[in-house]
Amino acid sequence: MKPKVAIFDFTDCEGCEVAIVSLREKLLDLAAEVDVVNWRLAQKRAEGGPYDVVLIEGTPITQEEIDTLKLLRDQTKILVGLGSCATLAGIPGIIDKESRSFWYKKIYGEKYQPRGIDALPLTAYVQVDYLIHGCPVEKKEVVRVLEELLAGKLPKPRGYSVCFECKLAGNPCRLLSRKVCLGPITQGGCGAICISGGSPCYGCFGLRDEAQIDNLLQTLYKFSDSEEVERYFSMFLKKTPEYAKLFRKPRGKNGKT
Amino acid sequence: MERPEFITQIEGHGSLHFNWQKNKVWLEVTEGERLFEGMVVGRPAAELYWITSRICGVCPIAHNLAAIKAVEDALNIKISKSTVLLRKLLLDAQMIQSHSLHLYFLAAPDYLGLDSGLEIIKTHPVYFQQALELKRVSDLIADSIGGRGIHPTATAAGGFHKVPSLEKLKKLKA
Repeated sequence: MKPKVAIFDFTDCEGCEVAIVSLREKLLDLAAEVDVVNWRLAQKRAEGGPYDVVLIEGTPITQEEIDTLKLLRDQTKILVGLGSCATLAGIPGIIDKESRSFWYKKIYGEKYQPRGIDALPLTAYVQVDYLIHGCPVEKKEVVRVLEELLAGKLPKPRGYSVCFECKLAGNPCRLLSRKVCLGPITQGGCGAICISGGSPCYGCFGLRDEAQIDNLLQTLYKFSDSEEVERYFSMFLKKTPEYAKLFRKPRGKNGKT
Repeated sequence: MERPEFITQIEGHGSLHFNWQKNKVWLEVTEGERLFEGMVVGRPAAELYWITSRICGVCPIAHNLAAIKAVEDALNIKISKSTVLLRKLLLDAQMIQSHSLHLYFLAAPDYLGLDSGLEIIKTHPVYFQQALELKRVSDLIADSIGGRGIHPTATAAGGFHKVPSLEKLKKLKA
């Protein structure tokens, strides 16, 4: 029997699913090895569990999404987060829980009935077996992880930082040009695609194991300030414990900062 | 009679509901609010278009270029002719990417009575090959000019962080 695979998406842009579609011929190869029993974006067939592998894209923001996430956890052997919205809370995570009500009113008006609770990663609610980071995910990484899962292995994250791939790509080092970069503390696997394009690395692949955050900060503060550094961390990593430790001010008695 | 889950194969989570008796049709959005307007406040202009492309993963280039244009208008930045041409080509790539995805992958299965776009390979193999080719070519153009097909990395207010090499552009012609 082919393994039963399902792909679900919570609140997000669906770019990671588009990345999967962009695999083209490779997607056909992968799809032939499994039984895709549920994929809202791509098919009508929508079977319930139990599943062997569930991929979840997007951030669980509404109660319904949080409930679905918990249900899916119970129904699948392996749960995989697909993309930074799922694995880190990513872009939706830029918005803090406390500021949501202000923006609801400002954007949608006084009478708006919000659906959202907070933008947190999957791991805030359930145990997740593997995180495929990236905004969007890197196609080669998706293939690697799925092939390893199909071979019965639990994939491991890349044991090196973005710097390794950035050097291979022949990019001049941003730090040496006194530009903020989170590459040294970020998991590799992206091929340093943003820096190769001329953009900064905001760490969408998540922190690597044993990330030397303090050492990086020491370097960054030689030419930057804490406000700018915090902004870089706040792009994809705002809902990580490391962000809270580095940048959250201790709360006063009345709960205000 | 209501028929929920009527248009599920779209980017975004919503379903079309209609009530024949009351002559009413409405779209119900079920996903959470991302509050993009709030994300961009207080950030430098260069991060705005980085964030707005994430509005939609099917048409990120359009959201990216629109925000770049807004920033350029606001700051009265003039751009070169070659920037305009490259952006037009990039946007064309987006059009082909997004429309072929919609046509072959999201909409065609409905018209053909199929479960998924992947089944077109069995029922209409010639069209399926065309779909793959359109996707390949449009992704190649978007990657070459935007730095990445989904969420561009090379675009910027005032021009491009990096423009494609002549070699890369010539390859697109082939």
